Amino acid sequence: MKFIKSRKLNIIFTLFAVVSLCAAWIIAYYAVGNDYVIPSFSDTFASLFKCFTESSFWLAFLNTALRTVSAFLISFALALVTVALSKLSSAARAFINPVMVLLRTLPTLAVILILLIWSNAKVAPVIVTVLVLFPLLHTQILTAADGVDCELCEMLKAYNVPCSRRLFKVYVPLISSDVLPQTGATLSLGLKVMISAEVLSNTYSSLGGLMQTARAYLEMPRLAALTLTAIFLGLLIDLIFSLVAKINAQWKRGTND
Amino acid sequence: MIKIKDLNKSYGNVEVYKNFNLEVRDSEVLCILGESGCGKTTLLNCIARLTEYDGQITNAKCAYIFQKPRLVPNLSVYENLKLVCADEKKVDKILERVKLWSRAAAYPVELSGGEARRVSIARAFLYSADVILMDEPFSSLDLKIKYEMFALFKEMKAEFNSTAVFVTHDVEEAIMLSDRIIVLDKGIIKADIDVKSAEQSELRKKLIATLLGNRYIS
Repeated sequence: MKFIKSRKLNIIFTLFAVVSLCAAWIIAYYAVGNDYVIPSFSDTFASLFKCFTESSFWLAFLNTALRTVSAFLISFALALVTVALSKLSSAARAFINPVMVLLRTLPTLAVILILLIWSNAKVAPVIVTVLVLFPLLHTQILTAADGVDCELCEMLKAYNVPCSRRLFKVYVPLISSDVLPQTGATLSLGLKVMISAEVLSNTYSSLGGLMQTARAYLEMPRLAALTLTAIFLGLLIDLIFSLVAKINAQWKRGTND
Repeated sequence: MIKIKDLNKSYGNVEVYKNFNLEVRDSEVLCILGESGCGKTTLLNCIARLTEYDGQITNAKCAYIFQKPRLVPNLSVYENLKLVCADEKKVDKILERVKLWSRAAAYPVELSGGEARRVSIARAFLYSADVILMDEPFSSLDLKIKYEMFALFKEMKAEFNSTAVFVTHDVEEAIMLSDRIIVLDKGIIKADIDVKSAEQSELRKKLIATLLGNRYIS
């Protein structure tokens, strides 16, 4: 009873936060009184619904989403390789660590400008997103792998459990239970970086490119609508991965939950 | 038979075993009694090849019952047992044997201490090992559960006719479960006693005296 009550309260507070943000937007609009600075709430949502009727919007949305997912998958694959090397060899770990520090500290916007010279407007955003996500995923997966109980590893060795069974029945599920809850946030970050890179690169048929065009024509409601789209997409990704992580880690709570 | 010949093992500058020899007979339950830090767990780990050593030890297939159950937390009881034996009929049979059939789908987080211990015992007997190694498997259990585990182990041991080497610092446990007891002190066997041939109260006195180095027993 207490649990249901607190759950209801949490939903109420979440709704209250959303309503508060909308109210703050409306108050700010009337306070500033300039459509080019803060567009109106109604104009923005009208523009958003208009976007939904345009095929070019959906094509741009899909392209951005696919590029983000591609960058994530490439980063994930690279991270798996570097984590495997780090776990197998302490020398490899010592070599990889400073490389990751370097990648983490790279100034993203400067990298985009350099990449635009080396490549093109379609590829550069993907590369820069990989450069941001790869060290992050490496750290997340390595931390999770290091966290696997060494007593369990000893038990598996004592019973001569085959390597494939150890990997797929024990290590992968245990590591994924720690990594999955963070994957939503990582993918959302990737989306933000991708859109930023697309804006800077003016990538054709992308959410970032549409934002750059709206800015050029001072179409503030459209720009705000596209920003809202990016926010909703990020929230959706977070929600999906939270649910997946919750289902995946059922063993932590037991079957009675 | 498990033979340990000229075992040498050190941790840095600390010598644990020097030219240590021991034989464990088939179907025997050998107890290694000793104070904390005398090398009991190290000996088990050498037999199980979990640690490096110099010397010769019979290459035996070992099952290991650790001090904590060490169940894989993301696998159910049934899946934990299947990890060491793919034969589902054998897994079903052993679950019935240890009275955990109704808990087959439960995860380790849902098990009581006694139930988790049963699973680790079941896992050891399911593995069809040449020898079962046990590192203080019944410590930190309350009295009722401890005696239930003793009874379960004796039944399983009789049914599977297994060889077992177990480590404890509990004299009563040693007398109740083993056929033979050796007392270890700094890597040296101080006493080697056949339990069946000794009278219980004298055996108890002798073991305690050997453990304490005759300091407190008159």
